[in-house]
Amino acid sequence: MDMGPLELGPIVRAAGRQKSTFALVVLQLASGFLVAGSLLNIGWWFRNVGHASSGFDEADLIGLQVREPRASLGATTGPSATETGRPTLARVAAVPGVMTATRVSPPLRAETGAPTLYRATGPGARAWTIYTTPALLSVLGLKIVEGSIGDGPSDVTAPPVMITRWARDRLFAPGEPAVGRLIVGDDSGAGRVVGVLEDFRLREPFWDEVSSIVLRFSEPIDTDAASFVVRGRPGQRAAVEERLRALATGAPGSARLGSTMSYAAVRPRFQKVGDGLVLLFIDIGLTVSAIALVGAVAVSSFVVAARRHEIGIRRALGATRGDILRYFVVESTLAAAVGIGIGLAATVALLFGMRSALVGLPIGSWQLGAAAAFMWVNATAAALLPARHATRVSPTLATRGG
Amino acid sequence: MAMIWYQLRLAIGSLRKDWGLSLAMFVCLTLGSGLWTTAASHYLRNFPLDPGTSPDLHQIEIVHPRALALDRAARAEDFAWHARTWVTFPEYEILAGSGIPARQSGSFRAQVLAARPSDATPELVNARFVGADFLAMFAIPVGRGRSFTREEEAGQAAVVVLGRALNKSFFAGQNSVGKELTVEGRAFRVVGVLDEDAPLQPSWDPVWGGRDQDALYVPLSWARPLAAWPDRMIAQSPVATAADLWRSDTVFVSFWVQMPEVEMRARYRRYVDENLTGRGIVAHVRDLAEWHRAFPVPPSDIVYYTILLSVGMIGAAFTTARLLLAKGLARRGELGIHRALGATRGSLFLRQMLEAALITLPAVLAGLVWAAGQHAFFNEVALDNDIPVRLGLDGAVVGGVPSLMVGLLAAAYPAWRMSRTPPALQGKRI
Repeated sequence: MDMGPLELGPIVRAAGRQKSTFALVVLQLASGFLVAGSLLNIGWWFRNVGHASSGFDEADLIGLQVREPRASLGATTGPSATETGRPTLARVAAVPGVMTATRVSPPLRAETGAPTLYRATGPGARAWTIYTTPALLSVLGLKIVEGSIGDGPSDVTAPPVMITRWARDRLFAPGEPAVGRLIVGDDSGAGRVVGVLEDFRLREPFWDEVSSIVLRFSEPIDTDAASFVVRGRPGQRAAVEERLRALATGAPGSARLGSTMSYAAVRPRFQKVGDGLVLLFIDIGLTVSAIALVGAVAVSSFVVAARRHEIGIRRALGATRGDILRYFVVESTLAAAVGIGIGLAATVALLFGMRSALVGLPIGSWQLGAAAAFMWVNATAAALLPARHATRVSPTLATRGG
Repeated sequence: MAMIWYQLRLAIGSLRKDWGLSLAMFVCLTLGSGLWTTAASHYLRNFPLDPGTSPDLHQIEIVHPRALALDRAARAEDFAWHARTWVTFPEYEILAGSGIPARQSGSFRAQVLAARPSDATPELVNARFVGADFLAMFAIPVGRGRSFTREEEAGQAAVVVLGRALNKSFFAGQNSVGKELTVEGRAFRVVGVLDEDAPLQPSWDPVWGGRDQDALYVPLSWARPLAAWPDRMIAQSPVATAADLWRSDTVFVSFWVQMPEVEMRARYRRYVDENLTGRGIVAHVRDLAEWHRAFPVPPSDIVYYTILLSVGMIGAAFTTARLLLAKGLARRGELGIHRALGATRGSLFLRQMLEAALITLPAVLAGLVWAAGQHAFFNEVALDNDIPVRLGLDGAVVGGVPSLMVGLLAAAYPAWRMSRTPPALQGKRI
């Protein structure tokens, strides 16, 4: 009996005779694809978001935070940042090796807080407000695409602000000039736009407005610790950081908190979490694969055991061992195709659902392709082992009546 | 009984005979059960079965339209918690001044500088300023020592209760009761230490759900002397100084009362009407059940991960079913002889099920161990706050019992199929 490569009829009929078994294989592969495809997409999303570039040079950038004991400042004071911010900034700027420095509130990698809803002439947009000084532009090396720091009249009730291109495109109608216009934030009040900046990112992964930023050149209103961002001279980062730490902590035994952080050397918390989740997904993916592999071997064993008599007849009628092997591999591929199809639909549905929790979660074609290839290899590898046993079935088995 | 014992011996013999298939089933069920238990623990961490709080607890929601607008503008509904579950300090003083509830406590969270006296380097930690009843109201067990008393709170005694995480980092998890630490440069004595981590979704202040837990609990009467600056407060009007804050319309205090008696509740509602509603302030008194309905735990991506991992468990069940089918098929002849020798279908079914139970039970236990390992791995590499995932009793039950049921259910169909094997004579079917 010569079974050509395109002779699918007997295979389909055999699958039809064992509907429940075939359905189980398909379900197993579909669920395996669902897990593998979803985890690949989610893992890739976490990896990309966690490692996205901030859009500014972090090589010699140092963060500094200073916090005085509040009790020592007394109840008549405002946020301690206000008390410590200005004098500390003057001392920071005088530290040898510091090129430029400024105050920022919140710190650039703040993990809490919420954006503000701003309104101008457009529909309004949420944006992250950073209270700072114009010096931040030179500290971070931000690029102005419209306007300049000196543009616009000085106004106490509407201090100057700079917005990113991303924010401008949502706050103003297309083609409408932004410079010189007022924007009003729900909790930060009005500000006059003096410039538009090239986009940069706050690198907070769970928001879709990470590039929507308003730099507000005024005193922060509710910050407890004073935060600074400092650019050291090239190659002197470690030495500058050490000097800044000494300056911030003060004399030994001081109750003041002074901490420094190198942006290039310290991974943000969410990046560590993102990387950790990728590892975790690999771990879970391998576990599910192990279950799927054992399952596929099991079902193939079952199929072979159930068809020993049939295989014996085929062998008695002249089928070679290669024919028998091919028979099972083609059958497994057929099941894989159906299972992957069902799994693909389920995965896409699940990923769509997850977009409400993970903003911008992609449904990537290579991830789905890789999952499909992985499940096919898994199913084929699992079919080969019992199929090799099947080829050893003696033709005389056919004469024994099972 | 003797019959079951006999069947048990046969089942053990059968397992040993096909040890390869038995091992494959054990591995599959262990991994499937482990995946499910891992998912269950994470799910329960986000959506606990029973927060363990008294149903007599009530919270008073005061509508702050301006704060609500700021909240909603900032982002999604969950941020409206600031405006809806917090009150201003002047409102708190009115609410707390009734003398009616059996217990009551206002609380708010602020970052404070804390240090061990021997350690010159202070750290910024999350302190919760609370009333003396706070820990008892929310059934937060003080493992060592005690909470501070109403007298200590009123007398501004310099005492604190440490959370588990801070006690671990400051005192290496030892019993630190009686030891000292400084808060904002002042010396405080530890009178109690919590043995357990705080829940991920603290009902006493849902604003902080998913964030780091409260590190220490300081008497509320210390808030002003320490000039505590509340974290994530909603300043409806600009606040210039700490002194202004206490009389301002800034919302930042979470306030709860415990009222076990109907009469007490009625009196308190009248008090709220007279003192707040009468002044044009809209206030709602909610019991805990109503409060949970009004402020449910927000949707989380953990639901999707739970679905994904349950697929792993179901896959393991399918695999087990198929392995048992394959096993039964391979031993059809032997089963036929048993039938010919008088074994009933019921006894064959029982034996197959016993065999499945002998694999499933240890696999579920191994799955619990595997899940504990997964939790340790997660806590090491992917924890995004200081509240670790642990395998608690609830997780073990919600993870283990369904795994056991699924394992047995997976065996039921193959066992039924095998029990229908016809009797055989000299190896041939009759």
